[in-house]
Amino acid sequence: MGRFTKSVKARLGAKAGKRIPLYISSFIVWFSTGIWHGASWNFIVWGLLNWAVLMISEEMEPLYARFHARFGLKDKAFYRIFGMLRTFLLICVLNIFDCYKSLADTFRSIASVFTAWDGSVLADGSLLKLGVGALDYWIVAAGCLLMLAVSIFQERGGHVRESIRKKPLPLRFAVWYGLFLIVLLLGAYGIGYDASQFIYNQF
Amino acid sequence: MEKTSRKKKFISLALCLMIALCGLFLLQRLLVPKYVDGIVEGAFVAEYYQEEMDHDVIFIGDCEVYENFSPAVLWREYGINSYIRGSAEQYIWQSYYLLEDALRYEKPKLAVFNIQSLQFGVSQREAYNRMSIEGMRWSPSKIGAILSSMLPEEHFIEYVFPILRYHSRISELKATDVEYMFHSRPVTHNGYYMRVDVRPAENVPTGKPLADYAFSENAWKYLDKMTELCEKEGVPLLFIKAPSLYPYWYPQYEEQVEAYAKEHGIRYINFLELTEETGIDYSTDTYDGGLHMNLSGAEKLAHWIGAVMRDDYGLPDRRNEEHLSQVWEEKLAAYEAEKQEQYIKYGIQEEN
Repeated sequence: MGRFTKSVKARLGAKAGKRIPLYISSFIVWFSTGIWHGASWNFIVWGLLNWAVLMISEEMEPLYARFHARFGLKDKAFYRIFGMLRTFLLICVLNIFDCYKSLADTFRSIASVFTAWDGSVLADGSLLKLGVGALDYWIVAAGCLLMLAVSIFQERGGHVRESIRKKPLPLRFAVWYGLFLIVLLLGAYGIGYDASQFIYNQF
Repeated sequence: MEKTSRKKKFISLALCLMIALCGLFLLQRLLVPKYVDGIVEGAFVAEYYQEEMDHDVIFIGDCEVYENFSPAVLWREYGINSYIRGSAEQYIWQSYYLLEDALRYEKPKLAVFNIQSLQFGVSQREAYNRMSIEGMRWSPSKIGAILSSMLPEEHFIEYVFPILRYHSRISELKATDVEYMFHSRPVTHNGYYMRVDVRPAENVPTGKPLADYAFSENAWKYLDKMTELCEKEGVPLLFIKAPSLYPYWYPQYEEQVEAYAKEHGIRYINFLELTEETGIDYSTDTYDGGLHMNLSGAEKLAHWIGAVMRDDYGLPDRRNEEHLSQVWEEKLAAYEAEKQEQYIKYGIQEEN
């Protein structure tokens, strides 16, 4: 992504400080990124929404700077956590555009969060009837937490592989073997196991 | 100093490798389907190896053998020791390799093949391939069975390491997966899959006309191989067609089989034409509307074919053999026990 952005920008000659060329070149980058996902309006809209969010934050820079100077929250732990959650939520909402077949479906589903709100589905077991089991949810949760931990570690200047290399052999073995098993067991490859494929006596 | 450090490194490497391989082996044993409940058809092929390889008759074929003949009756009434090496939708190339595999362990006096599978020229479903092949012990026969059966989406390595095929079962493990990691529980009676319930056959439609009735070259190829194998091993071969009403057995199929049998001097018995002689009654002898026989039907067919085996193939009555009699006493007890269990399960009163 980074290289793609840089190369498109370089070709379009965006000059630092000049906003219009920046907006236009970003627009082209994000439009292209959208189309690269698939030649369909929902991907293009996804790309352009990313562009919009970034451009708006650019414009709001001075306002943010004044806010942080006034309230001094930037380095507080809770604010940083808030920042992570806010960004994550924003990206999740934008990625809804990648999930549905058409733009209309996407907007309808986003709207339904407000119009057809039913919080009880999170607790009454309906989530387990969507084709994934409880274990799968735990695996997704564990995976997300692991990625979060690695992200924070790297943000603070850590190098994961270097750190592992320095550990004693049993721990190193456990980590690499564990990761290998995770891919072997949980990877999405091969003909999936579905008991119904094997049913022979249909009566 | 350096030598000990190198030695230490070697030992730790070897240890890591051992632990890794053991772990993978145990995981594979955990993840492969056990076929002890629900879908039991996958267990049939492996069960054969629990036997003492001393059978007079081996049946091979698909459900039309494993649901339609009772080896218990063959023993009880004729003293014939038989085994049904059947499996779900067993294709003819799999039948050939299963027979070839069996002939490495024993030399029966008769091989019986149900010719219905001539209809298929290529494997139809990956799951059925698995159920007919996975239970085989590794041998050139198993390799042949795999190579002749594999569908485009399958890979040989997935048969060598079934963990690659069944890894997603990790989220569906049951208690039986742990319990039966290293042993299995028999689900058949010498390869016979018992059903005592009844569902009469009604309104079985005649088959729609086909564009082409000719059996494929691949099917004929394996029938030839089977015929040649039996000739070479000196094992008489008998073709049968079970009295299943569906899938429809076209007259054009019948003609081709009769022609082949005549040309090669092989006897062919079509049970669809012998309902009077065998006494098959489609209102009481089937549990699924005419596709397969139930216990009553399977016992009738065994009774009839047993006489053929005794009179025309000279199969001896072995009820005077002490060891075999003891083995069969246990088998018959298990047979009766399952009968009773199923009567209770299906809510049927036993006829006396």
